[in-house]
Amino acid sequence: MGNVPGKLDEQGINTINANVPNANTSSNSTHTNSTSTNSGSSHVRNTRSSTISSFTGNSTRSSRQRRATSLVGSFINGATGRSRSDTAAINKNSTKKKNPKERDLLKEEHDKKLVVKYYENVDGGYLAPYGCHHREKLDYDADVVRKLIIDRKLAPFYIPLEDFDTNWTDQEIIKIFDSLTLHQAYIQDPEEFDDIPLGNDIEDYDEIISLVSMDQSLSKRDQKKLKSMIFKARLYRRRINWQEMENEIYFNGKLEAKNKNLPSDDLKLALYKYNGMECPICFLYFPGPMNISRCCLQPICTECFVQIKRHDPHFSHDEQNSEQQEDDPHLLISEPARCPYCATPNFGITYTPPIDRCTGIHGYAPKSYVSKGNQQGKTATETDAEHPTVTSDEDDNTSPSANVEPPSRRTSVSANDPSVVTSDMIRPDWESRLNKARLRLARKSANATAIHMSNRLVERRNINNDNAKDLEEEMIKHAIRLSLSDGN
Amino acid sequence: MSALPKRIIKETERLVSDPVPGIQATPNEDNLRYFQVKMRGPIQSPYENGIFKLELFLPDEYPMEPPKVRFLTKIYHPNIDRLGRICLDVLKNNWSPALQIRTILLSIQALLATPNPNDPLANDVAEEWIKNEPQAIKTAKEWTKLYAMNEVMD
Repeated sequence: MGNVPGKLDEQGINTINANVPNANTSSNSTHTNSTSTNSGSSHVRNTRSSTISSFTGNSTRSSRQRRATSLVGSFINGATGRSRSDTAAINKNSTKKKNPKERDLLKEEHDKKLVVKYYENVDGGYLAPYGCHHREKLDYDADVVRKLIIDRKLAPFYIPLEDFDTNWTDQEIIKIFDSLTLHQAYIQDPEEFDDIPLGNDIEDYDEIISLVSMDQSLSKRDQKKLKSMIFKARLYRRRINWQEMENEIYFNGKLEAKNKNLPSDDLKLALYKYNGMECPICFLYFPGPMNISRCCLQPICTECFVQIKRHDPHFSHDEQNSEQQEDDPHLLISEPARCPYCATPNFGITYTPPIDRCTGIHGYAPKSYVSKGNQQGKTATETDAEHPTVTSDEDDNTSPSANVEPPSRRTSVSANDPSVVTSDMIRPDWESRLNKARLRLARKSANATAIHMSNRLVERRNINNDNAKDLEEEMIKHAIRLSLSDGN
Repeated sequence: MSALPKRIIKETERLVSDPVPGIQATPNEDNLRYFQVKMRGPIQSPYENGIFKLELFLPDEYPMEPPKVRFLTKIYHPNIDRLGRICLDVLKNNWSPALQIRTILLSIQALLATPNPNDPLANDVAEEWIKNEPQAIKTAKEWTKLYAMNEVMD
């Protein structure tokens, strides 16, 4: 423990920052200035805690605590001060996180992209998940996934059927499909939000602050917790509202017989009757073709694919010296997700889009889809003029059951193959997450050491010094000397 | 608690209609994510003839997160501790959503047949297993007799 600041100084921060992708060297210097006068143990905590104390207008930090923690701030700044790019990297990290409101708004933006909209459709599926799995793990990059679906590199999110029976008639299949909404029904009042006040206007972000400050008895920590719970509960409620609005638009669309963005009955049958299959992970029945694992050629629906991700940064399990590593940030690792079927590292899929139905975005209107067997009786006006149908060029003599899937891959492909979509591609932030975890750990151990040091120093010295800065500098020198003499 | 996903419903149906030999998993009526499990000790293991009770719980994130499984019957085994917690890779980091209740219970049964004292959870048991294996096996048999002979498979 005693040699942590030395370590942090020499290796920790430097290596950590060297790993920050695209470290923005031009990023601000204001942060460094503010932290040297601030009292938190890190940039992140500084900003958050000062925001909260400004809500309540009282700061209860004791002078002893302030000294202890500011020492850490100085440590970190001192360490990074040696190299300009290091400082920039740290600041980049903290600027990204600094404003809780900004962070919350980003979450809100993300959740908005998870709303299923019927007019955003591709080959009979959609750009956002139906919601078969727990929503906690929908933290993928929504823009990346939407683009992959539009580019036909990843199967769209389809509305799944809970069961499928080959004896069902066409009418039964259509009726079942028509009874489904765009998203699985939300639990209206989940238990976790039971006692969380929502306030009067869930759209008004600033109201959260007044809701939190109503209870003066709460500690700052509890206030922060409550604030985040209120935000979560409201966001959940708003997500339900957003989806219900889209469901209503979808429902109203169904009432208009000529709505071009709704699937024709032929398309519904093409999706579920002729191409459907059960996903081996969620056991739901989806239209094919499905995504195929790059390694062992097993099918997986997009709903399940987006759930598969790296574990949180952790320590390697094979390390022998398990006691030593617990506070060494660069022993934190993050490994690429493995294939759920064969455990091959760096999980990825390939997807071959259907050849007989290129509908929706970059395709023709879903309403105009006509199965090959039915085509002769239809007029050409039904197809979207701007996007000529793919099927119209095909042989008219084939029956609907001949809607064969495109020829599928027979061998495994490498994770680098341009056709492959890997789990890391849809969560490109894994590297910055790892770096954040390492920084957090580095700060935690530096904090612990600094508190320990300052306690020792405070015990030794009689403090009646009004020049706190001088004392601090002296303490840093002491601490560094201590850490160096600690057998390092 | 979220609605019961189709996967859990289908897995339960298949467990009932096509049970695993030597393993019984019955969902709780009030909570369909909670299963009472009975497992027969593998033949030619120190647990032979014993019937062990376990509990299995499927968290909200299942199948993206592994089920939580614990022995309720006391058992002398280097990878199972006093509280019945099990040290098994597929229950932790090597969990895959393609695994199922059925496969997990089979893995646990296999663990009974092949104790691994080099990756212990119960340190004292593992130590004994390495130092004096015949004695450890004898103790395991005694415990089986003492604690695992009171149950019957339905």
